[in-house]
Amino acid sequence: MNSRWAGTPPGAPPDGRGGRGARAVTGRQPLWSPAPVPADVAASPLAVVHVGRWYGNVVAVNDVTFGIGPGVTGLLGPNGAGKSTLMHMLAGLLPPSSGQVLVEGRPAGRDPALYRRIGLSPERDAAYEFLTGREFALLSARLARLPDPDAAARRAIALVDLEAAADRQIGGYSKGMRQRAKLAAALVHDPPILLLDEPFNGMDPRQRLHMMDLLRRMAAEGRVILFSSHILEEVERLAQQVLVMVAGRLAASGDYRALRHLMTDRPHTFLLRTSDDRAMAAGLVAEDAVLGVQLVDGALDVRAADYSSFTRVVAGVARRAGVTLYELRPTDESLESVFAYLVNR
Amino acid sequence: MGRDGTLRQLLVLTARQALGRRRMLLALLAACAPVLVAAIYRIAGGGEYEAWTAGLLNGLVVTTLLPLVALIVGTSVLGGEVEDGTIVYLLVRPIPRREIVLAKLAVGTAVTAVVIGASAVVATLVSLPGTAGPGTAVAALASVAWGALIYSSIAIALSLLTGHALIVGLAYVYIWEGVVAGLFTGTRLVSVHQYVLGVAAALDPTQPSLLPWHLDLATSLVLGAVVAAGATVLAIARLARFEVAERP
Repeated sequence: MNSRWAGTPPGAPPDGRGGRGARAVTGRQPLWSPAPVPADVAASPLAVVHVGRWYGNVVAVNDVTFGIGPGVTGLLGPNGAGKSTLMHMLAGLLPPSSGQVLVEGRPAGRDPALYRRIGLSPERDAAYEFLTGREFALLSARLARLPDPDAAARRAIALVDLEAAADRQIGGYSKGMRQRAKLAAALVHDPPILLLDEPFNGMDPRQRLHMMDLLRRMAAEGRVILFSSHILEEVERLAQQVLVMVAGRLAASGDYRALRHLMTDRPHTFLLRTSDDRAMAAGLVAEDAVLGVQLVDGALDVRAADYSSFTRVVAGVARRAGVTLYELRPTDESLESVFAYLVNR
Repeated sequence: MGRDGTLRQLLVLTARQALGRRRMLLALLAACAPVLVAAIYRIAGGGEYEAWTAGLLNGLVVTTLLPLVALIVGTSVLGGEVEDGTIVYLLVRPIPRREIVLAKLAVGTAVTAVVIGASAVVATLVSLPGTAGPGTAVAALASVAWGALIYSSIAIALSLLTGHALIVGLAYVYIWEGVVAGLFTGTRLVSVHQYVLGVAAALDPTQPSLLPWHLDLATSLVLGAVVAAGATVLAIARLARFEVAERP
């Protein structure tokens, strides 16, 4: 764990459970908990300190604490996890119901001057349909009161690779083009902090790769980039650091590779189809890596202790039992099941 | 780019939005009605043109069309952006919230004043023969512009206070302004309709004799300014605390 990046959230075990720089956050702290603010969190360019946000009796974000430093950080979570709410609070567009959101040490919100330092690309697909992409970037540059708005708009359009469509009205854009137009507007004033809410939605693979390269380059220049996604692979390819939100809570945070290990190093279930299911089941139950085997609908439903140890032994078991493997696939690889595991452990 | 440049950008953006909305077509159609009615009356040779024109201006233009168009336009200039989510692109810029509100108010007022003002002027010139026409037309234009400012400020504040600004605005206009304000002398002091009539009566020499009761010019200007300023300050305060939320 980069100590500048995240502080210990309330309720997290002191050893940073999960090891190797990642932790699953398991504590269900009461909102009135007077837990101290870790110094490294408070010193981060983006700091979220015991933040809660609720609408009536619906809790959208529940006592979340983290800090974000330079580099690309992925905010991962299923739809409805509270990612957009958190993004809006970081952008100063939504006050927290409890706790504090700090941008470079200043409270986010009610301070328009802060938007010289922040660029936001919202998730909602809203746009000034009657403007061209170039006009939208130029408008953003002028509203940002840049000294040379034309040059800034040209640069932003080029950065997001929108030159070919820049003089067409946004109303006629594809979703991927709209995303790039929004990104151009967010980048136009060259902000040191970028908040991107589901920025890859609707982009084709080529656009996605281009955008990832761009964000990597910008992060290498020292910018703080936080992007949200519900797709594990996007986060895997881009983010060095990850925050996992589930049901409004911070389920895990830390270095992506360590988190990935945490996600794979958990009980898994697999489906096996073989030439002799009974012989295969007899061989599997003798293995330490296997917790249980069931014959269900002409296939074996195997519960393994963890992903890697099971996949190492399964071929050997089949060979020793003289069984041919027809099919082997994990049955609980959905992001939701991974999140559920992280929350419940 | 200085503040003037930012305000100009907001004005241009808002004008393009306002003129491009379908609601604008409705406003333009409504504005044609007084001209059409005046032309029919004139062609039919109805007579008593001064009294009839005063009735047309007071009854149809000031009571009905001015608040209707001001609400339609005023609730769309800012409320439309709140509704479609584009307001975010203004809120994440380092511009004071008052500039956003003032730009929206300027465009809402101008569009309403031009559309309804032009309608009132043309209808007056069509229906009122002789030398009285231009004087009455100027008074109608000025009073409509004054009413456009006050109603627009109310419409903009409503669009930040409720998600049903147009419905609430129409209920206010037709219940308060249309019924309650006309019942008691005291309620006339808190009626935008009366502020508009006060300006019209002061500027048009033919009107005082035709209006049974009206506020004087100073009262109409001061009370109208208080309402417009109050609504604008409220709108600025609401926008400063505006929350962009995606409720779970």
